Amino acid sequence: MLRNSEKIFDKVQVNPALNKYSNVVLFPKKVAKAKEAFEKLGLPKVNQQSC
Amino acid sequence: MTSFILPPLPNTMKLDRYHLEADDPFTTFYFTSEGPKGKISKVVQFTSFSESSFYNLAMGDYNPATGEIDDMVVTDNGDSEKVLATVVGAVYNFCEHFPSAWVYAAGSTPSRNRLYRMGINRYYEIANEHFILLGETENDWEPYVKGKEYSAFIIQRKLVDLDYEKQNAS
Repeated sequence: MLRNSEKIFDKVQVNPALNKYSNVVLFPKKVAKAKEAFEKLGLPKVNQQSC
Repeated sequence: MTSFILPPLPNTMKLDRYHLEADDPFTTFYFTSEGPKGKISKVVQFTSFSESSFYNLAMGDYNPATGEIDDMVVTDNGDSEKVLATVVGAVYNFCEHFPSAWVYAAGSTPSRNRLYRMGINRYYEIANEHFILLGETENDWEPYVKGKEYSAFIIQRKLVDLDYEKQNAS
């Protein structure tokens, strides 16, 4: 996957200092809004294989 | 066995953008905007909140002095196109690592939502080639209609059938 990623866009550099945010919700209000949408509408019912 | 891979990005999408850094799971991205207001740190985060493949996309300004993140601020650093292109780069990269993810995006303000919509509309053909684009309506998701106002969007990277590609290449 990463190989393909490098072809598509400039390589994204991993910065271990950012790992402290990996399990922290930085935008709680936005996430709450997204959660509302998810609970109301669920995941879109799209079958990729039929695209 | 059928193999799927994400389709390559055409050169037309090689837009000017900022250098991106990411955490190890590739869910939090960081870049620095540069403009008349100086250097402004930006954070992009993809957050899942259930066992599903539903992720929220959010971006905000990071204040290194206080450690606070503000997603309501209007930076006005004269580089909104470049910032948008950088966020798109983060979306592509995230989707490389989470190919089945649905990425939900809603602007913090109507004006920011309009900016996102303008970005999608401008690059609609390319975006539509690479992503399933849906708009949020009152009761459902619907295929994104160019020019229509949505309160939020949701996208998923399209997959390409490699076997089909091989058959057509030979």
